[in-house]
Amino acid sequence: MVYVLDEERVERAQACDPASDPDFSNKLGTGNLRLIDRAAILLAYLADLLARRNFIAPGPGVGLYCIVGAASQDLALKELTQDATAKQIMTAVSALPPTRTLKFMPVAQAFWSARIVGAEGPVRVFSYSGFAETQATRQAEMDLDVGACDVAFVLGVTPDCGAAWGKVLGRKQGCQ
Amino acid sequence: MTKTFITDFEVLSPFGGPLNQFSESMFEGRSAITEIGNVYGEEFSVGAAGLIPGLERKFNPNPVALGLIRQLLRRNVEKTLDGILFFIPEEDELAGSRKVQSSEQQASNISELVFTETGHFVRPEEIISIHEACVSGISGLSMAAQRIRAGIWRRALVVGVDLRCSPLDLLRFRALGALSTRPVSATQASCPFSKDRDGFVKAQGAGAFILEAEDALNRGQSVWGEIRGFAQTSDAWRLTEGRPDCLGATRAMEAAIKMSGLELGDISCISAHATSTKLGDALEARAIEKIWRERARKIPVTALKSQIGHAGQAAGLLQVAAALLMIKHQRVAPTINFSEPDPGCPIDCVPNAARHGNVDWVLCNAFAFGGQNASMVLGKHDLA
Repeated sequence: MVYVLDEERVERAQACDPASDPDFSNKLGTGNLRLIDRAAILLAYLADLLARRNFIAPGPGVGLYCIVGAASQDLALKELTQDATAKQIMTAVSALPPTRTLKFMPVAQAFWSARIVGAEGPVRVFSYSGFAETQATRQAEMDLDVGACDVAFVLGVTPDCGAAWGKVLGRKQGCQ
Repeated sequence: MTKTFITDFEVLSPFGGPLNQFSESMFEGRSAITEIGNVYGEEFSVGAAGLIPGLERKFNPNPVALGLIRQLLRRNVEKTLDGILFFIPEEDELAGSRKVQSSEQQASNISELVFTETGHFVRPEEIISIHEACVSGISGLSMAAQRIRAGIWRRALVVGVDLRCSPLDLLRFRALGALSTRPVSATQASCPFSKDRDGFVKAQGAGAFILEAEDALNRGQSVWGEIRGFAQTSDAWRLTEGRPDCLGATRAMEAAIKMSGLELGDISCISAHATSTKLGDALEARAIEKIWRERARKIPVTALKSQIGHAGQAAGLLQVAAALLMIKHQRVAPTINFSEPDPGCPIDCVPNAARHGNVDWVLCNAFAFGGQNASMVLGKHDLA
């Protein structure tokens, strides 16, 4: 039997400042806090909060199910290079930090949460939609059922980073 | 536990043409990589890419996905679908386009097409969009197979497209230092497991697969192969590097084989992720060596990306297509452009020429940015 062990919602995520939490910012690294995407920071913050609150140890038994949106794409660079020739695009890209691409990859957003809670089990990334939370939760339940993980974080952030939520699912020992 | 079969599929790859052309080109060891300067101008600083013939300057994945789905639905007599799983970039990737087609819009378009073609409605919560970079193909098929095994779905469609080879896409990958820059011809640029490898060649790819529960056999449905086991793990280590102890990769492979109920010795060959990067190939080879130990050099390890490059999100689907063709033709495809053995890759990578042999069970690997590892065991459906 799968249980929701804990959950947390941040309804006004704009007002949430994960950097002010010293435990979190130390774990993520202050340099990384500046470099990574806002959506990734919110997801990692929630994951860390839930892991600390529920004393979840890192390892292969930890699964992560993230929901991220399209807003995290590098639209600024796309606009900059709109209707540009290959040579102009080369100039625009060479002026940017090489790792900028990574900041906008959905899988990279999930990575920071995985790293901070030590999720070495399945890490799955769902596109944001009205059904994504149901889909991610069901996937987590199935993975828990077959023993692919013992505890699962289901985390989501809206495309505008206006709200974020997370829950921890687990199997209770001895219960079927 | 219900068995899961792949009953039909269609792919688009840099090989071009229909499936028999994919098969012929793959076994003959042809390279489908082209000089990108011919497409974007001589001054363009990225040398090579694997472009799908006819889609060289088309980067919008949505019509390609819908075209593949239409093709599959029209040629299958059975029309019902319980679920759809797709991974299509949420944007029109035409250099600089700001047009974003959200996954919800994509799901709605796919749903509408399925209804038009089949008269059946797929519930919106059963249309799933994932974004798992290079493991998307294996992960998407695994998630669909998991739902079939659990009895939630009976028949599912898995679709993935990655056409991201615009100048902007290629330059972004080059800025990361991921692309090959060797001063060789484009056809030789991708050389997985060879000592002189220096990065991957970005490619385009797309695929659509129909997965069915075993009751498909009762109605006489022909079957390409069975998905016997799968697993996914994470390194939780570094964004762009795998763990040096390759623990995540070994755990994924071992768990997939364990789920399949097979022994290590039953695996006929491995379809490696092998993108031709210095570190990635060595880690995968080391992971194989850790699992198979002294038998590691006896198991053929083939790298499709030596021929067609790295199709990103769609790479796993192309690997699975290649694995099914290897099972059908009982041949192992070659890893081309292999010139010098690398002591860091102590495996048999089927250098430069295809081999005949018993190909019953194939292990497909996929790894991605963020330390994602996914493995899948595929085999002939009539084997116990």
